[in-house]
Amino acid sequence: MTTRREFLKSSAMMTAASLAGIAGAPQFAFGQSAGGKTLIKVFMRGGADGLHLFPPVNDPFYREHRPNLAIEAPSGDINSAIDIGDSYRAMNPNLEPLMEIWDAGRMMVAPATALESGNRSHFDNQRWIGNGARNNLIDGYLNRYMQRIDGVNDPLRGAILGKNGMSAELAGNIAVPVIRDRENFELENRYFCQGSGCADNQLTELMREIASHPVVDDSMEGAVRDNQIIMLESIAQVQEAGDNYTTNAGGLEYSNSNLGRGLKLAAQLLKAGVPLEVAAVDWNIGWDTHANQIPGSANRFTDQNFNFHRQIRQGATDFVTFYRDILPIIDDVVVVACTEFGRTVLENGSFGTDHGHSSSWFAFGGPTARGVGPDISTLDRNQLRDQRFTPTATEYQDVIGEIMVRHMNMSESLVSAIFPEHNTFTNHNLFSRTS
Amino acid sequence: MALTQAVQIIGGATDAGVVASTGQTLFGGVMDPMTFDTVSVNIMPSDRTVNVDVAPQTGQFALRLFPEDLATGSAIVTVTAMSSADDTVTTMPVSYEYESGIVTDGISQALSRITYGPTADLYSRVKAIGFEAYVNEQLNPASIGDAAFDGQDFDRLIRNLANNNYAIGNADMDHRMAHAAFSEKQLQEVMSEFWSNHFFASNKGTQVYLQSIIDREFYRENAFGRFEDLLLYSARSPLMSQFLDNDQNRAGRINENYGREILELHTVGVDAGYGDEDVIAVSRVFTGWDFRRTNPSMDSVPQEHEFEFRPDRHDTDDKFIPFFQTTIEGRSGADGVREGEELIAILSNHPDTRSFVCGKIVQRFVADLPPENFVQACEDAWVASDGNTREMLRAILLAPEYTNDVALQNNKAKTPYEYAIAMVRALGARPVNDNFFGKVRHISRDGGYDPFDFALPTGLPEVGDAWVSSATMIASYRTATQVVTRHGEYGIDLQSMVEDAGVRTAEEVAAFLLTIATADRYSLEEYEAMVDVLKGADGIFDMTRNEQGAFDRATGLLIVLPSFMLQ
Repeated sequence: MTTRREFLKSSAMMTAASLAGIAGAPQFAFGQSAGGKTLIKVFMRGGADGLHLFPPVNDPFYREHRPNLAIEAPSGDINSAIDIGDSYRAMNPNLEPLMEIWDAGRMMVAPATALESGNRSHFDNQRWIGNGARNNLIDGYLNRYMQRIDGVNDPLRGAILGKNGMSAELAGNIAVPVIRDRENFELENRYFCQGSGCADNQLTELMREIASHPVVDDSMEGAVRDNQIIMLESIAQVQEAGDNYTTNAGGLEYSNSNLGRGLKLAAQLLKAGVPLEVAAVDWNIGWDTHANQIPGSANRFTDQNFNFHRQIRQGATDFVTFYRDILPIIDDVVVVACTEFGRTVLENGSFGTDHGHSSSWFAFGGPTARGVGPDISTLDRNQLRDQRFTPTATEYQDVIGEIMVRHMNMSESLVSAIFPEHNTFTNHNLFSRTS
Repeated sequence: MALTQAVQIIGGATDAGVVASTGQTLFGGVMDPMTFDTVSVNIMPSDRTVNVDVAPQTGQFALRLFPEDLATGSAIVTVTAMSSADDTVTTMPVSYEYESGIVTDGISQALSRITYGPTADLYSRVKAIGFEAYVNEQLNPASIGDAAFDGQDFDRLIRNLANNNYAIGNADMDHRMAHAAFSEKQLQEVMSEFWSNHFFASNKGTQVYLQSIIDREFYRENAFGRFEDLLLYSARSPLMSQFLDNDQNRAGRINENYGREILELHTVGVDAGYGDEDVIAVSRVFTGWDFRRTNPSMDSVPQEHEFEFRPDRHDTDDKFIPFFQTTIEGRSGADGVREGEELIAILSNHPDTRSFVCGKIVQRFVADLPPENFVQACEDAWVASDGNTREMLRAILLAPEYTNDVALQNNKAKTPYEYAIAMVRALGARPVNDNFFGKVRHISRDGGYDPFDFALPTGLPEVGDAWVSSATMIASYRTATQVVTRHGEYGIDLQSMVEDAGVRTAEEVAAFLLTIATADRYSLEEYEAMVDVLKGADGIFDMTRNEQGAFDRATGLLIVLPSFMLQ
């Protein structure tokens, strides 16, 4: 296992070489990373309603439990769900842009995925899912993956993209850059370097010198210095990756949301050949729908003046934009959308739903095979967890674990090391496409 | 102190020669600064030799002992004054022995946590009256003279506000920043931000936004109040009600949002062991807790609201709450509100609430992972004082371990808000006009600390891991480094500040600026870099000439130093 310090020391030495490599690479040379595979984890914070994203339109209990919120079975009406060829599930009409990926045979939905030992707290579940176990581990599962698997030594091997804050999945011993957007990820110290006696970038050079000086590992001061180094090491690569980038998505553009920014950054890095292996992106649109999940207007499920509907569609469009943008390397990239829990099966008194258990996760790209993963078969209250929540049909560790094994080529024996409390890996054949 | 030798160390250590193990600045003087303009310093056993400038006007010089110099527990410092004009002219070397002590190491760090950042005046005051007296004074804000702050009438920032959610959020933030940066009632402001964040609520697209200013004022005025009073206030707040949907929580159509979060985030904490049945019962207790508008409808004026209990929406059945093994007796009519008040009393007196809330207070002041002994001290004070947060804080801050436990040093980082305010205080910035606050606000907001654009009921995170990231740093730095060339717009005048402090040489100025900005715990390489940028390309720092360029460079470096990120 590489310690943070060892990693940083070697990465500082590697930087000049890797920059030279990028500068010398042909433009738009795809997929040059050594491992060559990328996992982009998208998190829907707030507890996305899996029964709303992929409604079980053929279950009579669905309408009974949700007299106002249930979406009609596919009928061609604008407010009805979209047929995905499944006998139980359909797709929310606002996710319609995703049908392009579905029809290409490259998308799956695991509609009842959960942290089986989870609870009803956003913050616990997000942390435990990110940690990869229901305990207070400091390192997240993606960081643990980086520690256990030898990868390319690059400050951008792992990154948090499109947002300001850390993600539990990538937090840990190996410091990773957090990049909200490319435009502002630079530190031209024009305010500092003026007058006599100030060479270009003296401030960043001083920062680098100071931050490179060793301090006690795992101290807060060590964390500050490590993150300063990672920041300084990443700036040039991130800037360079955007220099010759154009979005190539048949006229679609990324939105300026955390999802749109994150996916755009990922596309920039990947298309420039940066060896990005694991990335964390957020898709936050107010998934915590305790109230007013639908508008009062006529188009209850598709009214694009209603924020929730519009933003679901905007997110689906961002996914398709990314899919098209990186189509030449789509075999090498898996995007998986996750959430901390689903919502109560019964709607509440405010046209909303409260915290529940399992929810719909979905993925596309790489070896993702089209289809609906393990599912529940009925919303009969007696079959529900505590009579209120959809039970677990897929443990989330098996979704991520299968991506790591079948896409990233990790040894199956390491799944229990990445997810310490998950001793039996179940292969659900969700990522079994052979291209 | 009069000099008795040609070169002499005269200050910094105790009379017994004890210095702080986290680093100590020593001050000295030479009798004949016209001849001796440099002092050669040798430190053993680290065997570090450095030349420091002598101020021509005062004959003063400064040197710094770092933790690496004190690794063995003691250090011998030998000073020899020299002439840069003639290297054969030197004084006799003079040696001093120092012992590393831990007695007062933690006080400067403690000051960086119970205030929004130390200043030269603050250090002087604490030195004069002692740490304990300072803490007791801070805990009694009515006793603190704050005439300079009051005279600036910062309440103007929240008067006559237009009916605009965004503008009101800015005004609220600016008003907080004014208190944080300039009021002498520092601990009160720290605690009011703490409570405001503990009972976090933000506007969720409703017309309830003026309430954020009113709530923030309440938390300031009751920063050291009883926990139960604070909890009850938050439960009745229209801002909280719209934020956690309790305005939609009614008999037969309950909404669990507030019922869950009052347990998880405000009182007993998620690990207490309650279940979904408890959440439902608690939600039923709070049915009918709503708000109503109190000012007449007029588009140009922000809406005002107040708590309203609506008996018609209240669930009047008995509620058995398994976790508390208690039944809240159902009541109808106006008496229904008593159910929630009873529950708030139960929650406020529950041991899990004491443990959870004390843990968060200790996390704010002591360590991101709250040490058990501090949490226990807080809980004991809670029991003894019936939840008086003033006594809980006193127990934490005056525990001897708070200032003498080596394991608790350098263990917390500033949030972007604390970073922005600490920058104002360390550089002596002044609000030359009201745009000043907008600039400082951006430093915090760009770093991600923006209570008005934050949707999670957890409130903004306190732990360093949440903020120590490249995105936060780069965003804060990009905005903050503007102070370097726009010092006038921030009212920063380091030259005068340094002159007032009576320091002259690059080493003295570096020690002075770093001691203030870093709670007197900076590293050797940070100090050397600071001395270097002060001396600039020609290697000379001379305050008899215009050294604005040197101060600009020092400012830029100061705000990106790792030690300045620590709290």
